[in-house]
Amino acid sequence: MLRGISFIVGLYKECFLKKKFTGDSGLKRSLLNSSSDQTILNDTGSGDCIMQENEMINDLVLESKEHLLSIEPDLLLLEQSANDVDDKLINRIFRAIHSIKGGFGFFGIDKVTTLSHTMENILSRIRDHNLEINSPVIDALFQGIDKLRVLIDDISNCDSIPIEQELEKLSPFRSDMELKDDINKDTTTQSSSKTLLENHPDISESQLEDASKNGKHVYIITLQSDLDLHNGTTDPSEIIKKWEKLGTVLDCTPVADPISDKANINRTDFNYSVVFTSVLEPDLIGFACEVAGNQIFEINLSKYKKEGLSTSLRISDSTDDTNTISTSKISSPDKRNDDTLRVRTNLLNNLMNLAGELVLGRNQIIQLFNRKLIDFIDNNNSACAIAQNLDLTEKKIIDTSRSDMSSLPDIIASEIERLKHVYQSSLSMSLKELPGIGSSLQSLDSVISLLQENIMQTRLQPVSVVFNKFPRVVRDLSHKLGKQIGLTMSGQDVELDKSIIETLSDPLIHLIRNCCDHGIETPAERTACGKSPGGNITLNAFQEGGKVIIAIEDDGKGIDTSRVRDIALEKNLINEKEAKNLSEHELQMYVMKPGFSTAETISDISGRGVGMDVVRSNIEKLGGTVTIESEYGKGTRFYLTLPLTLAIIPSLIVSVEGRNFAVPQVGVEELIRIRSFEITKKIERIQSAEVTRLRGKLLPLVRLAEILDIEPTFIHPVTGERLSDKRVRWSDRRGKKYAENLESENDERRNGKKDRRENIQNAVKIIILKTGNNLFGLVVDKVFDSEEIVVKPLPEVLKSTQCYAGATIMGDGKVAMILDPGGIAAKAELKFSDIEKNQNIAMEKVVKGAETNQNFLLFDNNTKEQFGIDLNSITRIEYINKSEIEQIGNREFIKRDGHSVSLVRIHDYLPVSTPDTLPEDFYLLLPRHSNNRLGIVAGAVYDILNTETNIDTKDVKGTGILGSTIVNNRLVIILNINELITNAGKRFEVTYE
Amino acid sequence: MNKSFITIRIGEYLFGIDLKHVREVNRYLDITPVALSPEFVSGLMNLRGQIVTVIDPGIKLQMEKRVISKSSRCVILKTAAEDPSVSQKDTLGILVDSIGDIFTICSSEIECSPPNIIDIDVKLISGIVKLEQELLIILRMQEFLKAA
Repeated sequence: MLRGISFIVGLYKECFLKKKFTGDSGLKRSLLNSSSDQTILNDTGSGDCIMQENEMINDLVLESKEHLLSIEPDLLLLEQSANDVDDKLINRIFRAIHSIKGGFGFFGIDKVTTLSHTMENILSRIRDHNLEINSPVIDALFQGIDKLRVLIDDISNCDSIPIEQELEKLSPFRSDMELKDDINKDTTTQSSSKTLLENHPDISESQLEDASKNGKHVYIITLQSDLDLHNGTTDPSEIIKKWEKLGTVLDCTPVADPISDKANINRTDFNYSVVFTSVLEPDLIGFACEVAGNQIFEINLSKYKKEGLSTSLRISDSTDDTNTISTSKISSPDKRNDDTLRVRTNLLNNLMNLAGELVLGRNQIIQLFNRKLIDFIDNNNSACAIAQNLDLTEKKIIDTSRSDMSSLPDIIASEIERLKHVYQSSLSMSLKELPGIGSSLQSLDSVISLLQENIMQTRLQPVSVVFNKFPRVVRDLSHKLGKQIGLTMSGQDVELDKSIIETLSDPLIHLIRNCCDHGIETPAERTACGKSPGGNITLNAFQEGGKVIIAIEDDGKGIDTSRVRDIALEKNLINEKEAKNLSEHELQMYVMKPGFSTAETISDISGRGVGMDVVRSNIEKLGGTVTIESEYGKGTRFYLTLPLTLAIIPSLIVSVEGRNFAVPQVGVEELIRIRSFEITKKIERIQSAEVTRLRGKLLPLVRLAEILDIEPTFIHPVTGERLSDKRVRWSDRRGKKYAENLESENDERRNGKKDRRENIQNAVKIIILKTGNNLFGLVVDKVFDSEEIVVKPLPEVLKSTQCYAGATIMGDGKVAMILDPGGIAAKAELKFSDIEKNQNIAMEKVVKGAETNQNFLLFDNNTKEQFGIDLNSITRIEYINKSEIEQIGNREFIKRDGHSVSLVRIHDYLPVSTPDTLPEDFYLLLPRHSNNRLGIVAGAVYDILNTETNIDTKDVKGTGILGSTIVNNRLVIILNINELITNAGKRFEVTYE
Repeated sequence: MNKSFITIRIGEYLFGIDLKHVREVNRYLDITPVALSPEFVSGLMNLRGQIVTVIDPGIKLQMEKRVISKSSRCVILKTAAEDPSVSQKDTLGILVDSIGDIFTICSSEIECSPPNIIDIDVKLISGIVKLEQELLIILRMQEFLKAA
């Protein structure tokens, strides 16, 4: 710090020397009235000086912010150590405050100086053991620091920020003597500038403003009759004439000397009050005007204005407006501070060195290319050699043809062989690897990747930047809430991208507040539960793989899932049935739904039910996830999983129909490849939906080309053109016969007879992507390497496409789109979340049922799809003839046991194929729940399956479908009879109990 | 008052863009088409490390799609940061069939668009200039880029 200040002082000196005596008020003015910068520039002709001043202030602001940051934890420590005060600690705080005071005092920024001075005073009392440390003192100091931060953040407008409240808070702890001093000083200066100006009713505010805009100071100088006018012997006009050379005299009025007797007034007894404007600084004016210092008052215009507001005319609104306008104007250049980053010097040195290496590497390559040029000329020589050899051959052949025709073929053959040899040797020479190019390319490569890594690191910041706020937050909250809360933090040095750190602050603060407000109980509650009265919050950051995980844990009461269920019901977020089916964990996730709050009352800390949703959306915006683990009565743990950086991400490069795409590696679970002859076997279809089996589970497949609506093409084997491809299914590309005759085909292949279609290109490449907890397979044409790509934001016009996360520039200079797995899943209408929660429970039931040997009835609907239904839910299976059907409107009935039964055709309710016509005879399945008033139409009933089959709930889905399973190598769609009946009931407007 | 216009040819017509909107004209046209993008977007292009959204003006002017030929050029427009009179934040490029001369035209020479223009949205045209050979249609860039 000292170094910093001395640097500033040094700069300042330099600047001072250049400017002669414009001095520190000039500096201040340039800050306060940036609009007047121009005039100052013109006046003094030292624009660079002002630039330097601004830079100096910026440096000071940055430095002071760091001080403020360092003070906070120290103050907390101070509070904890209470009576056992460590002098080093106090001194550290003291020094930091002092540096701030000194720095800003230098630039004449009074507010900061006053406040820090008061705080310094209190600290010195603490240091001297004259003041006991208790939380009110620390509170007051904290408030002071907060205000200092506000002032420093908006340094150009700090004059308009009130600090009275903080000073008042601090005042009880100040030493009595100083307090009195200050009060006296305050009243005298205030009253004087006010009353003094009251003597000059002719002076308008604009006159004063004009003066101050031109960089002048406004003084009120009292000429005392006895001293300056030598009891009337000197005419005041003479003195004023003298002053006119130094500045402008705006007004001069005689005022009665308050001490002199009113009865005795004569001309010589008058004191004169002169309003005088000049560029001269306060410390020089007395000397120049030959007046004693105590007779001179400088009018601080902004102060005067404010007083004017309260005392005189009620034009407050308009002046206020102009004030705010000017502040907003002034504050804009300071915003630049936010865009700067402090970079560690050794990191910069690394960057510099690496850049140097890069240039060296480049030079090496240039040299090598020069050498290659020489080689090329050599190759030309070898071309000459071939030509000579050809001449030779020609001669030889002609000679031989003349003498011995019979040996001609042999000669020709041998000559051709020789020529081939000559040609090959020359060719190998040109292709021969250049010595050293491999290694220099390698070094270039490694240098460039190091450079990239280092540059990436310049954007990283330790999470401590955010974490350091929390001890203070927790302290304040625990005081406010009357709880005892401790905070343990670890992993502060874990680094994250600057932009992530910035966005992380709000969600983390919210989570911490939540922990304090909802999580941790009051000491009384805690002791009643048998816990220690003090609660604890743990904040931990650690790196796992390419991600950073931040865990926030409290040992409070945890999430009461039964209450969550009640509230969710109350707020109509779920219905009764869903509520019953939701698992503990799912209920816990409900706290993140918008509008959800378990708090009984809305406090100023939390309870509006917006927060957790904000947390989740903020984290998801960063490409992270939030998970909750909670045990009722024991505590809650939040996990925030975040990517390291947003700017550069490792991605898998894939292509579809010749277009390249980048898939962020984070979302890629695994890659699978289905060889072309296995396609028919391994990829199954339900209507248009394609699925494959992955380790016994069904995986929905999404074809990227289809989702992106890219016209299918193929490359013509002869011409190499890209032509549009009319084949829709993969199986169309593979003949069935071909798959059956696999063995013989393989033999053929071994014999070198290749099927045109059987090559690596035709294999299906599937990238398994993860969105949330769900997996799906993305089918692409080609999978290339993994590359680190630089993410460029998506242009505005393309945001509506929802499939892309951004764009990037590939190594070849071409633009490639970055795919967004979540967006693709949404575009493909993979509705994981909706169905899963119902089905997970239904699944559980099914699985439970399976343990007691649940039976499934297998049937079809006169289509190729096979369906399964829980046998226990069916009371009867009826054999029906078409003629029995009676039609009323669009409803179909049959009569059974004296009442009517509505026919339910499953294709009306489920996303399955529709049969062409109803056959003459069919079956009717009568489910238990409908009181036999509904019957499901079945074309053929095959079998009853007694099974413990796993039902896959992810792939085939929709209301009324439980999932899918595989029976005898065929896909069977398992129906959810309850949903089906409810739906059918809705359609017929009948409720079936 | 004189204004400078860069002339571009789109289909059979000659259009003019106020020169103050133009950053540069580019010949390198390696445009990556973006699936699912709005029709008027030809694709994205790499301009010295910066992504440029290339727009096919034909679509807006009720003409056919541009086919890239030897004379095709991309007119790179200034962003809001460089030219406060426009609102787009992304760098946009307009794909044109060819570019012509730059004309400096007195504003009195610019006539209102005739009322019988139906095919082109009149809002997109700020005026017509009668050149010796043909008519120059001055585009109103703010309107033209509105949906872009």
